[in-house]
Amino acid sequence: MIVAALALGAHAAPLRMAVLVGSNQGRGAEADLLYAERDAERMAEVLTELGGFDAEDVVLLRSPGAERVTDVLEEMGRRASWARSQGDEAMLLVYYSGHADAGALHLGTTDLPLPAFKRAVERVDADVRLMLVDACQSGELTRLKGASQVEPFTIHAEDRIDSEGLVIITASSPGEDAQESDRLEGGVFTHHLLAGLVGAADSSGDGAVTLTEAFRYGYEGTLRSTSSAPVVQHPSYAFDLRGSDDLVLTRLDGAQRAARLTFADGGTWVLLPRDARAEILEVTVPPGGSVAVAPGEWTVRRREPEALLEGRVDLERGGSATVSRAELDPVPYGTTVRRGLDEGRHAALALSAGLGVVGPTLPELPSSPELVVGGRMDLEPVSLLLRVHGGHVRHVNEALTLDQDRAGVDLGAVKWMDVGRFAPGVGVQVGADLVRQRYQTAGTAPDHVGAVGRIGPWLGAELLASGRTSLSLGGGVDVALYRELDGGFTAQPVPHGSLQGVVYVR
Amino acid sequence: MSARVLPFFLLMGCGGLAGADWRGERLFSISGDVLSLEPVDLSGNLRVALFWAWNEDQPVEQSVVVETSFPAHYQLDVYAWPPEEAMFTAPWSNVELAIGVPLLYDDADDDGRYDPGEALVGGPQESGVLYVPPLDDGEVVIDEQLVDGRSEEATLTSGFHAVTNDLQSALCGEVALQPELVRQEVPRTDLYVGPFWIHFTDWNCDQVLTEWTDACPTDPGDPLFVEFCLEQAQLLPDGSYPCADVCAELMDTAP
Repeated sequence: MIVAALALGAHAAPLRMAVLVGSNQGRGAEADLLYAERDAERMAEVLTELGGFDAEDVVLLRSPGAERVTDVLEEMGRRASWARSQGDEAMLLVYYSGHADAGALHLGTTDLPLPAFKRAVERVDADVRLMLVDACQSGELTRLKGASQVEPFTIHAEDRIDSEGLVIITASSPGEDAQESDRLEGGVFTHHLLAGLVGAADSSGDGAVTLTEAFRYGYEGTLRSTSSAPVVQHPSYAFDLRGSDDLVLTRLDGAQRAARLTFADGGTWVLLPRDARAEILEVTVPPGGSVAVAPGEWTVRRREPEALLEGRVDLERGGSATVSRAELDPVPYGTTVRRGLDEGRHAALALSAGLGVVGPTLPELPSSPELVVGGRMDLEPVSLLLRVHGGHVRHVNEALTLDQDRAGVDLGAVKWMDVGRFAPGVGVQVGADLVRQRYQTAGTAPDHVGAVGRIGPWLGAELLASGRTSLSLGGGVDVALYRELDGGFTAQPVPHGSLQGVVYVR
Repeated sequence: MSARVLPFFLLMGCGGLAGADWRGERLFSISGDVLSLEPVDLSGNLRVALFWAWNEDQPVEQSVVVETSFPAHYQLDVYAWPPEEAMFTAPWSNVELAIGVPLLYDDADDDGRYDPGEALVGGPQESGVLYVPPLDDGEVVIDEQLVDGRSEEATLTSGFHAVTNDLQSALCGEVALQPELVRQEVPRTDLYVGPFWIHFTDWNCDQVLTEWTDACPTDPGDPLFVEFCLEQAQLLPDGSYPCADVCAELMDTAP
């Protein structure tokens, strides 16, 4: 199909209307969605802030019934007709986020059949009607007119004609499910579409995001985000427009309340707002690309092959700032997993080695140094430790010289609290040691071999040295249980501590 | 109990661990009472140690603290074999033996061990400790006699034996070694606080009756010292024994 343009700019103040529907409620056995209504709210914010839509021309419907949707569209049709009768141009953007199937939108307990939905939009007497649908199997909409999908990345100049018509953009292709993402806190397609509309899609760098730019950006982002999911999601579109220019959807210089953030380095950036009312934003931009975001403090992250980089930026209302990777600090490898920052990685594996000191395992024995080697698996809730250690102590009494060798294994679980490059941790460990006692004596003293069981708390702290290495200091006091020569059991407190180097290997 | 936990508990059942103060396997034990035959002024650091008698150096095995109020009980546990320098070959056998006695000494510097110069203040009157090292046959025959037409052997087995002075006399060849002497295990070894000459026994068969000190009495008129001088002079008329000059003076002044 052909993409053409709407020459809205050629007329004075075109009427831009929007009907934004978000419906979390599922039908029957369908699970309620988490982000559909919020997606619609975000769309309203972007359209009013950057899209040139007046607030009174934007109708936001949260979990409406089918009849309410068609009623609103009828109202929009009347308003469009009046505008056009006054010689003004009119544009209608209809957005839906919610459940659907190949035949209908699921609006709570009611259904709005896709053909009826499409007809209701087409009946609106607007110059351009834009349908954005983020719902399962919404790609069926693009089939209704028999339109076929083509790669939208090429606009043929010879195809530009007068601007009128209908644009249908769907989050998925026919037969595909549309997905929500907890990491993105929204529908996958809507997130990337909105990221594009706030500036990430401005590939031309002219400060305006066109329909083609927005769809291309949304398509690529959706594909990228779902490439590792069980189902890859392919947004689809049907453009039935006639026009001369690509339809401009948003302009960054039109922002009144937003701030502008420019990225000196190209690539994928994730913006996390300190303000809970703002939304996370993942953008893929060329060097120098900009986005409009809510003012406030943002955490900026950038994933690179060897590290996750992180920094902070504080934006004033109407202000601007530039971030570069050189200003960011590496987030420790394990920290990315522990804080759930790495969507593709749920465990980080590290090796460690170092020296430690262990208190007397038997009364009156001296403390002794030991060699410690181990491994650690960082998971999001907790880190699991495995340590192997050993040492030797010599003790002389009136009658003999004792040489005691000890080798032990510890298993532990630690909860880390990552604070920048520093991470204190608290946990518990259990362990077992094999102890051999050998004697030098003028009498008779056979060797003894026994086992010591240990359990105790563990406290420690890590300091990040680089993205993959850190220094870990920790210890605790174990209760050690062992059997004496007379057959009785003794419990002995045993303090211990170690300093280890940690290297993440995977 | 799961299979994974079981090996650990089996391992804990394999053997116990000794504490840092473990001295090894107890090889022998001497016990008895500490008695005082006369008033004596002692410091608070009275100890008993097993002295292996031989030569001038006195290898000492362990020591334990003893109360200074009498009577007091002591138990001396032995954890070490006698040192090489304590072994000697008995005149009647080619087997090396060691003889020792528990002695009381005043641990003046309270270091828990006997230091040369510290006063020996008491010991047994008639008993000691005999050590026989491991033997190929498990025992050594020290005498064989016909008793009622039957051949009876007096044997010594390896290990520690608490023995009487009579055995010493036999070991040194002064009297015949009777089988019953070596079967005579002493159930207890009492110690007496007093001058060394009250319990003089030539344990190492060198005819010097003082085995572990050569301190001479300040009161030569003590009847027991007189007895010591008489007996010692008989064994060594050339005066080659400790306190010989004191004894000579005593003899010269004796009526």
